[in-house]
Amino acid sequence: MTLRIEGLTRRFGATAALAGASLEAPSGAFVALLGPSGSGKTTLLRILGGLDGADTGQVDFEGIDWLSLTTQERRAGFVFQNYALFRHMTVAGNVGFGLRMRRWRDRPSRAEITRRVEELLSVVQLEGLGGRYPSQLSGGQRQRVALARALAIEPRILLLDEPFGALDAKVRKELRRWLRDLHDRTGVTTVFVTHDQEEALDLADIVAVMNKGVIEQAGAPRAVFDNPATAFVAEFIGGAAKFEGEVAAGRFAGGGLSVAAGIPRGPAVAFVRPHDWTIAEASGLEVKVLNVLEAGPLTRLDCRSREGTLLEVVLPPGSATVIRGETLRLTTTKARVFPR
Amino acid sequence: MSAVIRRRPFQTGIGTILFRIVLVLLALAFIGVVIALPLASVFVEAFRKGTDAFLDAVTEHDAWAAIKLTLIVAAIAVPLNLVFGLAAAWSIAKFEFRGKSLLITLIDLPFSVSPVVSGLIYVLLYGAHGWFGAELQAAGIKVVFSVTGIVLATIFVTFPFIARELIPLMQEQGTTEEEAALTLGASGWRTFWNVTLPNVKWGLLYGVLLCNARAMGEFGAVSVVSGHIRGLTNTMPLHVEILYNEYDFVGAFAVASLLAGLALVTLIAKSLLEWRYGGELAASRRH
Repeated sequence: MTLRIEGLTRRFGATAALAGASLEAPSGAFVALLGPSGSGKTTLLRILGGLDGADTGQVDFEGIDWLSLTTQERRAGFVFQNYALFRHMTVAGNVGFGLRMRRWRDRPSRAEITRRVEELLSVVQLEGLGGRYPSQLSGGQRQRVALARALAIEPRILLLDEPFGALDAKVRKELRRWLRDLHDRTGVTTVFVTHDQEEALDLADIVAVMNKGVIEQAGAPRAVFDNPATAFVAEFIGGAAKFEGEVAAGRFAGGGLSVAAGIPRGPAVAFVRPHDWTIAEASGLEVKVLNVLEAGPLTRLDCRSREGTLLEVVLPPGSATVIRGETLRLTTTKARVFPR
Repeated sequence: MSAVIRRRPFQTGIGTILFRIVLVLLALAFIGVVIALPLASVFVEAFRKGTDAFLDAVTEHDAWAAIKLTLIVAAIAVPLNLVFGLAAAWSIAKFEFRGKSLLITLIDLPFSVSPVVSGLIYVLLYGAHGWFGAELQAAGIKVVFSVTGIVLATIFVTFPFIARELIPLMQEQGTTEEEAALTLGASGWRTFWNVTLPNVKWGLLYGVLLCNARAMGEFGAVSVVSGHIRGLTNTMPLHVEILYNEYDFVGAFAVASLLAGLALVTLIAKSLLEWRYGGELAASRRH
């Protein structure tokens, strides 16, 4: 384990942005900090980058007491949400900035800097655009300039704040693939912040789900998706419908749903994902079909239960046709039940 | 970012064309009466008795002393306000601290206080009978009725120009570029020189031009602290008034025309800046 974050806290006035966040990741990992806005993910990233300080807690990175280093000493390549390109410098000026800022003893010659900038521009597929100004570039191009600029300092760790947030869907997908490729080639430990679960699950080796300043669960995408450890993760990931009720004698009952539950008796909450419903003949949760979406290979239904819970149902291929306004009965064997 | 200008479909009725002509004429008449005519009259009056009389009036000993003093005062006040204004704008725009709004109010104070009052404050504090008058006299420092006082009053009056120009610009630019520079290994000092300052250079130049125009043209505050000693503590605006009161109209307008010329040069420089660097100004402002 070479990135170890332990019990980080950070308060801004009365609000706790971080309330004891802990995470471990191996060297060279691609880590996603996933959470809703206000969950503290950007604060954690900024603390790693040296742009903010922690009140308490420790970070150990490759055996170094990371928080004791200054921002400059960390050599953390930071890519900002709005890219923060130097607007008065050309693309080449931006990319070469980190090299020019080195102390004169370590500073490469002018020719060497030019060569490295050319090299980085070809890595990010922006050959020939070195003379442009940031305002003359598209969003995706700016994003890649920001990446090249961060890579120029040969970062020990790469930190990306919502790297695809401001891009349109198509560019986002392309850049995502490309970034994953780049990571696999360079092997730099990378941490990125996102609120898009699809992006996190698709891209990362380790997904860390954040809520209210703590990391609720961290693990491989498959593990986090299949086995949510807390009620928050179960609700946040996978578009699950939520039912509040009670557990008694090994069964959960509430909101019209009744399923087996392996937790002690008491107030509880159950989550069921859209894929985990089956249409039953006689008994089950009674729902009314509000809308039928048949685009793509799967049929998706928007439904409302008699108790008022809105839920989404995805039917497997080859299911019987469902029409809008119809009443269905649904059962599931894959409900996830947590104490409330 | 260049805004897209949406034109309304052209309306070309004869009535609208007449209406437009009338409006344009009204606007031209207004500009003529309020700005162009008075400005022209300054130059006409200055040269009324020929070029020789004009040259005599400007090269006359006291006039020449007033011109030199004005240039000296501006040469001291503008650089100092450049540093003060930059420092104030930088701290206000880039940092959070207690008493920030009080500081902003203080910076605006010279704009809201009448210049005459600004001058009187200095007389009250540093005059012979003022709060610190006796101590200053004992130390042999003369503030009021001297160049020192004029410089102080000018600095006070022109303080807001540069800070006011920079604060909104810096606030809008935010701090992420500086943060980026820090993560790329730049020290705080180099970040300031390589990122913060270049980002505001055109705004700064703007502020300096405005500050300079006011420093040379200031009348009220300077009038109170100067004492109007001919050849010693008379600046150009004060000299104009004295000559005018003595019915030396050619002299008064000759010196006034120099001041007006300075203002025109400032305006032309400003327009040139906008024309030559319009794109970059817009990029660094994004208003």
